[in-house]
Amino acid sequence: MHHQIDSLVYTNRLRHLPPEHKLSFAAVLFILGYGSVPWVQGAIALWLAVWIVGYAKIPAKIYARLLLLPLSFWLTSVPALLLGVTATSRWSAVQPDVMQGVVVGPVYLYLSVQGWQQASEVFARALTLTSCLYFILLTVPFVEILRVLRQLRCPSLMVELLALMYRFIFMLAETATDLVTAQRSRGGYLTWRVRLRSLGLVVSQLVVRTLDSYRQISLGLQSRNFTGELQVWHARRHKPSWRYSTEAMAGCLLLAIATGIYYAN
Amino acid sequence: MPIEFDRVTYTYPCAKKPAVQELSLRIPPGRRCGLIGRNGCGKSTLLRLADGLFRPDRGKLYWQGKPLDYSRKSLRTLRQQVGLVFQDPEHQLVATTVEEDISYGLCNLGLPESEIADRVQRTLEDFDLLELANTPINHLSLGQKKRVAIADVMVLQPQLLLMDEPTAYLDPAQTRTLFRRLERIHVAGTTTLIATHDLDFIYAWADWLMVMDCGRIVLEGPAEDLFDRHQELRTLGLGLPLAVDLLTMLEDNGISADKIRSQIVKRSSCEEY
Repeated sequence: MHHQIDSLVYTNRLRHLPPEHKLSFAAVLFILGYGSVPWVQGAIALWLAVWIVGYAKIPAKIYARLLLLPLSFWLTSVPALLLGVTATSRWSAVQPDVMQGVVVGPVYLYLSVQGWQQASEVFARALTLTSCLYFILLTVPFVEILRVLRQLRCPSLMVELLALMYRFIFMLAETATDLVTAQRSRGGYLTWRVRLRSLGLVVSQLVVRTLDSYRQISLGLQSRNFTGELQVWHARRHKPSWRYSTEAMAGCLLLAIATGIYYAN
Repeated sequence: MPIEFDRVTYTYPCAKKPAVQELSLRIPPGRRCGLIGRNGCGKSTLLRLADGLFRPDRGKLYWQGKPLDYSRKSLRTLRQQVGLVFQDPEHQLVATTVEEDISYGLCNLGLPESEIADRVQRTLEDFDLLELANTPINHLSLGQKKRVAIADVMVLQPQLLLMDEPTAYLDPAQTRTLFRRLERIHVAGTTTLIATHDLDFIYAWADWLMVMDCGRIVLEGPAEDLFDRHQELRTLGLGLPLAVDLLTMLEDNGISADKIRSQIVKRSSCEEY
């Protein structure tokens, strides 16, 4: 999946837009979405879906699958928000908050009205904010995020760590997949016990191979005159688009006004 | 004389036997040098010593007549003039996109941005990487990674190019492209040393040959002469390039070998055959 997202980003139709524009667009929507009313949040999520699926041409199916992710987190937290428990003797005290209740011996179990409100708020907010993050994830290649961070004077140690992680996480994944495939071809995952043993082997082998790679890469860095900092140069190829900029700004303005009116009342 | 080894011995930490033993060697300038030998005979160690990555236990290395003192400054100059291409490109590519990776060595030299831009652009063109310039390294195939690794080194315009098993991950078509690229590098005046056990490749490419066995150079000389020493190559466990074997058979049957040899060299450097 990670690899797939990475490939999608590099082929998305909004790739040519300057990454600063896309990042600030998402940041503005993120702030608006955090503080606003549910219907504005809904509008933001819908609008971003248009950007991601309509403009950037990310397949709708993949985007829908990605959106299921926050939904599943939400679902796991719903029982905690919704269910209320109190002693049967004190059930009248919580009466105004009860949607539906049942007595189980000395305990009174009920669905909370307030909890339901909270759950729906959390749902709207989670959906909006993850949409903003997905917009960044799906339209701005990681490399370009790093460049913007560099421009923003983010500490170089952090940017380099991120860059190296991005570079090597694929190598790690590849090594792990190779190991698992090799084990599978020799029946390493047939039964539960064998499977556990094989997994243990993968983990220990990964450590060994990672250390070996580390040694080789530090030689590689030395041979390329590593100075303690990973400085690189890149050409600028981005073209701002009048059409997209206008839509983004006009939309953000409308949403901000809507939020403002809501808070004024 | 770009680089010279004087009775160099190197043992890896915790290893029982030295990987390179009392090795003396001069790399003739401007030549296409091939370094052959069986796996584990010390070829890669020799290349790493030549790039100043390992420090010999005994013996000395000379770069352009001066002994290498392993100070930070002298290593920096050495690595600027000696380019090493590793066998596994993964160990060499550190930046996130092709263009950034090529610029990395130039940025380390502290060159002005306009010159970096200029040289990166030219290298991208030279190595047919223009379309891949903005592609992340992890999206490349192994052959493409190899090409980027060579471009990384060549952008620094080294005087001596060292390559460790350059044909290891290449298919026949990529090998032929590599052959032509090496030819251009040679014509531009760069001395090249290739360590490999791909005898067929080295037979078609090298004009100077060094044979290594158990950490020492055991044979050295012009490639044509060395490939005539059939018996010695066989006892070293190397055997002969397919072409030499064939030529010998033909010669035994009275057909001129020189003519066929030139045909074989030509074949390796052209795209279709």
